[in-house]
Amino acid sequence: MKQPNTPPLQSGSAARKLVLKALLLLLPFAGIVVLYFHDDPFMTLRRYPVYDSAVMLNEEMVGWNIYRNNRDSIPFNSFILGNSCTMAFPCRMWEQHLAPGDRAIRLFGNGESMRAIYLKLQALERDSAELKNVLLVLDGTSLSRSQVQSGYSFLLPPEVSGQSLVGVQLKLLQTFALPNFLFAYLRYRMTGTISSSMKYMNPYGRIRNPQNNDALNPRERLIDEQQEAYWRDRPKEFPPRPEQEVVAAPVIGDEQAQLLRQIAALLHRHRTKVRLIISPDYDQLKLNPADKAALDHLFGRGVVFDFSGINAYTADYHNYYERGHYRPILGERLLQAVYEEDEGGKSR
Amino acid sequence: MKTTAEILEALNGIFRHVLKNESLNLTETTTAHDVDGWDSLTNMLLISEVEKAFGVRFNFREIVKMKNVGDLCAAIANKMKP
Amino acid sequence: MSFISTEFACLFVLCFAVCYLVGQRFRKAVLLASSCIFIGYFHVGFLLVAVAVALFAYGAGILIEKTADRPGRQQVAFWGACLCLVLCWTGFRYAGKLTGTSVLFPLGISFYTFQALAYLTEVYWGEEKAERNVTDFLLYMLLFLKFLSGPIERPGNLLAQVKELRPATYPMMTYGAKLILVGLIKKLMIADHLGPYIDHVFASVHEASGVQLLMAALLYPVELYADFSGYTDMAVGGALLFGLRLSPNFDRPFTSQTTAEFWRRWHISLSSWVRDYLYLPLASVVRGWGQWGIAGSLLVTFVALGVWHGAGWTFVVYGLIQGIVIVWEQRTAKARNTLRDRLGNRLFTLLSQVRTYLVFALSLIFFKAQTLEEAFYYIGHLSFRVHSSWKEVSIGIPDRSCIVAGATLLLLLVYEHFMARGDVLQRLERQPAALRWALYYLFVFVLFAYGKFGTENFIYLQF
Repeated sequence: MKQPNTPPLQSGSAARKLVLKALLLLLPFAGIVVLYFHDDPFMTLRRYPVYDSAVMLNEEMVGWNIYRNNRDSIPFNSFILGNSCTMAFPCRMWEQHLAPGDRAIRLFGNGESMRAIYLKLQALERDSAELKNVLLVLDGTSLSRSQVQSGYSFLLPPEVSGQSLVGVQLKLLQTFALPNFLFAYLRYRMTGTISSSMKYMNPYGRIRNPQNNDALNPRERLIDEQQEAYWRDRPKEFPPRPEQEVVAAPVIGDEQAQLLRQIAALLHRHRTKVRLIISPDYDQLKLNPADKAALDHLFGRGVVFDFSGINAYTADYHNYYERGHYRPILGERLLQAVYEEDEGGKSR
Repeated sequence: MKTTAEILEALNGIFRHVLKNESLNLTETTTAHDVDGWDSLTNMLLISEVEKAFGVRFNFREIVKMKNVGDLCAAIANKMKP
Repeated sequence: MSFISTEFACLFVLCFAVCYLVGQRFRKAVLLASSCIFIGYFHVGFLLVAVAVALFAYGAGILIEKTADRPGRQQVAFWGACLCLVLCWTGFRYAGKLTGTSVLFPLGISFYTFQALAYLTEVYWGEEKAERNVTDFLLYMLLFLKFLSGPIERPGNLLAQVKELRPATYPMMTYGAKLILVGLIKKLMIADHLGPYIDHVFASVHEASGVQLLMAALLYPVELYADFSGYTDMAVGGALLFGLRLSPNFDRPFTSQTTAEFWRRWHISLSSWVRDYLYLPLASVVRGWGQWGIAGSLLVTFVALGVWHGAGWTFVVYGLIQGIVIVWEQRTAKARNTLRDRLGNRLFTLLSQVRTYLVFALSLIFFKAQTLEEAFYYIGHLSFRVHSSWKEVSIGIPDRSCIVAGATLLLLLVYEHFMARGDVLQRLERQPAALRWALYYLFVFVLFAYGKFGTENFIYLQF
């Protein structure tokens, strides 16, 4: 039985009903999206002169934006790359070991992967940045990561990763809409206070330098105030360490080696002065000699400095904020050791 | 000139033989769906045996048009008409 | 455009809105225009090839019908047209391999070529009348909802519906919307969470450990199913919003107890195509050869099915495995029945399902590997030995993804179990509005929060 030719109004009414219901369904989500675009909680939709926030921002994007903000006024030619242990190397401190006039900026990432480092170097290359000096601060974990991890803190800016802006924003929107962030954020918005239990929130105020992305770790001030009591009151953050030195299993496989080769080639192209520091991690896990040899082979002699394992640097707990990060006083000693040959040998 | 009932009985025998199932009992409305083991894979085997038994030959289109045993009986009867 | 992209969402919403605003007369034109935009968006060449093939099939169909009174001529027309279509398809398929240049394989060509072949065959057999209306025929061939990865539509189903193009009723629309949601869940919460890690293992076969190879092979059927059936749900659901009912493609394939049954439940539009247009005619021709005829026809049919997926020996072996196993199942039917009596129905059913799954997983190794050597290496190095830890066994899938994918999979199994008993989505309609809306909000939110956005390629896109 053939249906008569239905006039537009009648057949349209089913469609209209569906559309209205769909809009109703999406209303709360629309609210979230509007809030996201209005507040720009992760500071990625618009450019800001200073990147202070009550929200724990994505370091990759903040670092890159700080670079973009300042690259016209400050001639950056020296780059600190690596994981969050780069906090022990303030730019001014590093610049003292470089040629006069060299200006540094820290472009790190939390739990950084080698892939992210390579992508950043490529992005800097595309941006016609002068890659005169590069300081890589890594450990075994960073060397093993040949792919960028998924998750909010690992999101790279579109200019670096090549992902579409829409794709990146959708991921950020997803993070924003998740209950564990959304509720904490809404509570903060309404009450103006941040409790320590709130995930993704930053109760410490300013934690970075707006020109070169140096870390301003609030714990440094705590140490100044509390002195020895700081370490005494935090036994959980300083677990006991092994008696004998433990050597880690090798982490550089074919994929990692290939990536490192590409990084080394890029830096070689720009005749960059490279220094690669294997962090003196608190757990005193020694980098596998095979990995050290691979790195020496790829980057050349006098470039890679392995401070891991049981040694004078890792022995003193006063050098550490907690088991994951060490302080600039240790960073300074490391830089002196790294540039010792240069400075001792040649005349300035 | 065979009657439908005779054809049906002969088919029963053939199906039981090919599908190796002695307890089969076909009716005019039986389809492949109702019989264990009768599917597109064994269909051609059955058709082949049926053709040999009745001395007829179907063409492909005729085979595909048969939806149940009743259709098969009718087709066989038709083919056997002088 | 991928189904999961802002561009497609825009196109779909726009097409839907315009369709229902312009009324019956222009609806076909709107759908056809949208389809052309969709196809041409990837590359104008794809659109040109698709339209050319469609017009060719259109002309051939009319010619075949016109020569019905002259069987000799008709045969030439039919076989000639089929040969041209197949040559065109294989030409594109092997062009890259032969000339060494990178020739873009036109999107969806495997699907619409087979659809055209089905159409011509039905016209040749006199089952279908040749379509005289160009717009209707073009829409039948190019409809954007089924263009990417099927289902392969028979003229009796889609062409007939396209000609009438009745507007969707409200219940059809809500059913379609729900189906789209189901498809999105399957794709974003199962397939995309597992996909990258399985791909990674298959891409670096020599670096992976034995147990990693094993895990990737065991998980791949699940990922493939979630991906492909998710796409199909979205296609079918989307079509329902326009009042079109596409053919089903899946029917709980992993409940199959034999590989023969599996292929009646997996990629149904393709397997029924090869059954109706390859196997049955072949088996009919060689039916005098008894069991050997059946076996031969099966092998040819399934090798063709394998080769449909791609150029290369791996696809031949993929198809061959299906064929060999089905032939073996045929021959050993009696033995299996006695085993069933011995073990009891429940246990035997379970073992059969596991066996069918494992056979499929094994054949998929050939499907996914790049070369035969790689596939044999893969199989040779499967092992149960775990060298380091859970991290090795989980092939790098983050715990969060494991949990999300696992939980969703469980939910999917429950959903499909109840769908077999009686349409769950329709039963949902009868529940009070509060419950329904609560569920909608829950699923949309969960999808948004836990779905893996970003990996947008559907696996069957490459065909």
